[in-house]
Amino acid sequence: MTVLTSLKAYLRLGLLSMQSQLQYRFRFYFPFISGAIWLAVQVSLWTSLYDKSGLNAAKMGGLSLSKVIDYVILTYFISKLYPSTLIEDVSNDVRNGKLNFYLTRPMSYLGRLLSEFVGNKIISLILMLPVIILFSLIGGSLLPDETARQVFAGIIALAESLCLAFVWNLIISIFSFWIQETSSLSFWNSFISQILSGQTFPLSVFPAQFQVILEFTPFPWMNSFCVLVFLGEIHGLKLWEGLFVTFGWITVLTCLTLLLWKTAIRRYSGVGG
Amino acid sequence: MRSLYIYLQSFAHRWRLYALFWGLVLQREMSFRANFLSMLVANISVLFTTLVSTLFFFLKVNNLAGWTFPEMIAFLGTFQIIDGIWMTFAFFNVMSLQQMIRNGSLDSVLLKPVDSQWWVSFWKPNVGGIVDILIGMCLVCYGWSHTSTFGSAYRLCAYVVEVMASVVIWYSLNFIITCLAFWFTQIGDLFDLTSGLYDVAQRPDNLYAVWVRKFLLFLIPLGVSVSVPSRVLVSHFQIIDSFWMIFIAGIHLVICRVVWLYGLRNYSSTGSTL
Repeated sequence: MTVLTSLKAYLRLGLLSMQSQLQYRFRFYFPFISGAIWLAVQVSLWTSLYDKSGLNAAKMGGLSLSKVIDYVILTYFISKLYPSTLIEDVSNDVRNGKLNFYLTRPMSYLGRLLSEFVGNKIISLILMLPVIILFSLIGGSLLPDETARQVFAGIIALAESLCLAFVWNLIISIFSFWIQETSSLSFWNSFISQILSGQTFPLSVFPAQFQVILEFTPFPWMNSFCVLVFLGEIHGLKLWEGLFVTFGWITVLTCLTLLLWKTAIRRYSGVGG
Repeated sequence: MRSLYIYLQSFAHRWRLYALFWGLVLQREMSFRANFLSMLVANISVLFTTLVSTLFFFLKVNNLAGWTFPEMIAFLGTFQIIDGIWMTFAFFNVMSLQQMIRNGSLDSVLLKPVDSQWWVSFWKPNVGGIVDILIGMCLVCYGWSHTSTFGSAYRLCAYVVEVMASVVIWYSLNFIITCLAFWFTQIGDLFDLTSGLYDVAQRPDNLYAVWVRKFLLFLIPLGVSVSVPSRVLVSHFQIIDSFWMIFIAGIHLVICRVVWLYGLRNYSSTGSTL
């Protein structure tokens, strides 16, 4: 009964987050204007690299120009689902003493963050669908030969990637208990993870040895893996292996988060509020 | 003669005031040394990552739309310098202006015996941006020294002027957008548009179709604000493009001033706590 009650509370929080996202649904579309410019830049860049600078599929790990463009577009949309403000939110709660208020509530602070993230992103995904369709129509070739199995595998990989990104950002955000000002940490984290997770460009740009090293970090599983699954570049045993490794990273990082959280809460002294 | 004397006096007064701003900011930064150091580390590591990524690209291709590796390094350095100057002197002030207009704290600025646009644009410098400028200079020196144009004093002078023109364009465009807060309550989303243009500026303009390049150069020069100065330093350049950049920077500055003065006439100081 108690578990059911607390689950209901988290569900309610998720719904509230959905409502608040819906309240600003028109503002949600504004960033896509700059996104369209960014995508146009990316398309020009890659077209120029393939047409004028001698880049080809063989040098890019088998990715043709159209595949790279699809990769860039998909990555752009997936990046919109990342918990981009999580570090800032937690840092503000800790610094302003707002955390005191949440800690006295009969629910987990981390659970609250997760509920809000899920609720928020479900609405983001729904609101994003017309833009995805519009971009696909203009781009012409976004996932033209998708099979149902590929889409299904892509959705599972996406869910795992988002969970991993959430847990990773949560770990970084917990550092705000030790560091007063986390803006530089947040900036550094976002920049480094964007490059190493393949959000800035496909990881096949990196030399093969570096790609092998990267596979032992959580970064490629946050974005690159799921995009390549959607594009049909990863299938069969590799797909299962990837899903398993991502799950492993989620488990390890979740344990680390809980451990860090316990330590952080122990040293936290709620001033102000 | 007397008016010239008054002008020079006011100029000297502004410089004294500006030195005071810097003194205050340095005092503040010294009390948050750890944060300053972490920002320094973050900036350097970001730059290092950018360089390594560019190097990886050039392991696969010989040039990027005609730009060789040293030219590209000079291009990245130029972006870093322009961004650094903008961040050091005006960015945070221009961004906070919107809030000042909305909550009425602009009143206290208007009462000060100094030009209000100057004050709201430069009252709080950002020390962290200086690191960007220095790093950018190192990159430009490295890139330039590996090109055939290295050592040309004429190119260097033209480059400095073009960089200044680009900074003026960055400042003016953002200031004009911020001034819209005099008429509209929510203008934050408009900055999404300029962030898209920064993305355009971060790549050499040769990447884009000729008509896009011309459109950017003549209508929204922010998009080519890094390419034009970089080309002046390390590559072949059209003299007309360079003059145009300077001219358009001047036009932007005039428009920026007119919008500010016109905005002040519409300012009704709602919600002032003065």
